[in-house]
Amino acid sequence: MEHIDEGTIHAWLDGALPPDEGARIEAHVASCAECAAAVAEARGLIAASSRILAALDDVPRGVIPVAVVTGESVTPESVASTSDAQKDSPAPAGAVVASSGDTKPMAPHVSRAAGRASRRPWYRRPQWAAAAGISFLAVTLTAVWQRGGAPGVMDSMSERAASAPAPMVAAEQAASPAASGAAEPTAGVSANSPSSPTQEKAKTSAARRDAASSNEQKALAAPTEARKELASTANRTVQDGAASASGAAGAANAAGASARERDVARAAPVPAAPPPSVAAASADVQARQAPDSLAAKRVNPSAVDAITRSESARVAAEARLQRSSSNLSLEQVVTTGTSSSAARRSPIPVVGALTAKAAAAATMTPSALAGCYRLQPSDVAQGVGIRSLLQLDFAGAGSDEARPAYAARDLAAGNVQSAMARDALRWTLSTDGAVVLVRGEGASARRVTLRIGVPLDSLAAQQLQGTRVPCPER
Amino acid sequence: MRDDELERLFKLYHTPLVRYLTRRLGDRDWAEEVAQETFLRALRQDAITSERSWLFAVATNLVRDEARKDERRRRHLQLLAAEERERVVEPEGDTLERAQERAMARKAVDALAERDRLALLMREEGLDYNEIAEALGLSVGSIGTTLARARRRLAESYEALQADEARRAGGSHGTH
Repeated sequence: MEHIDEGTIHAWLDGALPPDEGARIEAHVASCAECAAAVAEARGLIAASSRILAALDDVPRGVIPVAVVTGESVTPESVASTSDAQKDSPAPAGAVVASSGDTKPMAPHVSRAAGRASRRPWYRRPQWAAAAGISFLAVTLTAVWQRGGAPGVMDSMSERAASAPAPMVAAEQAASPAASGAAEPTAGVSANSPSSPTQEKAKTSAARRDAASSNEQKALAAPTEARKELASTANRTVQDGAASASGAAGAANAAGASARERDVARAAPVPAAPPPSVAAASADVQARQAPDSLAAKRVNPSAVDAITRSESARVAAEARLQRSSSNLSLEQVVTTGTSSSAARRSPIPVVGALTAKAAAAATMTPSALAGCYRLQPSDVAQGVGIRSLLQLDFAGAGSDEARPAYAARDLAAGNVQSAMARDALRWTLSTDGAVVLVRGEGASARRVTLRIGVPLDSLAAQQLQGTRVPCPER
Repeated sequence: MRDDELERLFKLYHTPLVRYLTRRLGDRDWAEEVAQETFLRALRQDAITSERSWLFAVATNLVRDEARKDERRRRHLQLLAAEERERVVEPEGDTLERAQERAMARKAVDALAERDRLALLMREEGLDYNEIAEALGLSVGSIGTTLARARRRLAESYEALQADEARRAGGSHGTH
């Protein structure tokens, strides 16, 4: 028997051959090493192509294709009229070339940069921006020189944040409502139980509502012994949050950071979230009982009074905690946050962020941040995991708060320790992405803002919880 | 077509159709719009004999027609999106790796001949050889060859892109 051609092998592996022919090929492959190798190769190709195509599923909504289609409409007749020779020809000029990551120019004769520049208003053009920057710098330097070393923003901040050794952790959800709709992993939707896009969005919204409500419930259920310290910690954090809002951390991240700090209010006494099913069930009950609750507001970032409600809830929780006594160990602090505006705007809707902040006296060291934080997406319905750290923003000592953020790309995968020792913070992510270990390395700083972004496994809008937990033994 | 039949069709084929279109277009929103339009077309049909191949063929046609009509509008949106990207500070890091994978996969898929690409995407959604042949107007006997060629070329181009990327990464590491 002659060797089997590649097309037949693929048809056989795809189960497209009649049983008798399949049996014949199977028998031949068993006795022909060359064909067996071809079959093995074909299996590899099938697996590889499936894997490659699966990478295309990780596409956020709203991605605009780079190139467009101008080809003819396909009908069985038109396709059938195509000659076999054309099968091997490259894709026609009008073929769809849609890509989220591709940056091919739309038109070869017009560069994208040139196009953008021509559409910018005059005040956004680089030369004007540079002139404005120089002018601002000159005025600022003159003012500083004239003041002769008067206390600056950092000094007042450090006074206000007189003694606050405890870090707070805020977790952020990082997607817009639209992005949350994109979050459902396509593969996760069973063909037997599909739902319409509206239904899917409703499911996601409900899950997020449940999660938020669960956090509220946890806070209300906090043991009295644990509340007092949490309250004082929260108070300090709020004070520092106000200071940081005026203190301008990283220029690019200032708005997002202050928004996060306003939301550092939710507290719960458990070192880790309860079993998802229990939390979801209890949260659901609570959400039904109080449809206008904070949880209900929180799931809708566009609610006008979302922040107000969040703040009032925080104040009430703090008051309750202050009435109680005893200590709350740091291991029991759980806080959650909401989406930052920057995250909502981001075309990458899958970035959550964990914010840890230490408001401290002038001699505060980053070691106050040292510890382990369990990162836990509270929306268990999506079953996402945290893959790695994304970036670490760190405001160092003195007045160097405006130092720009930088990306810690070295942390691409789990258990990679940052080599960025210059900022005196090192961190490690556990292999399963669930726990981040942050270690301080002794440099002094008046205020430390640690922002840890965590990309999630799916496009789901997730609310993350950062829970300070005892560090595992090494 | 009656509403209950449409509902059955939707339940059966919406997910694979949207996935097929998403892979084809690179845009989930667009894919869902096209899928919905496809089902609306189905609603207007009295009877459909080969449902799955019909749906995939109609969706494929809609993609082409709509893209052709909307070329100018899409180009404008593209420019707006580019400006938005410029304005927003995007986080860097791990997603970069995934974005690279996605971009390489997209390039590799785009490098395929149109018919190979469609056949492969349909096969990945579970269409059998008869259905693919019907949707694309090919003979059933040629589907195996088409798929074999598509898979091989996809894998080869992806590997070539990976090798290029590795070379570039090696070069950039060497400069540090």
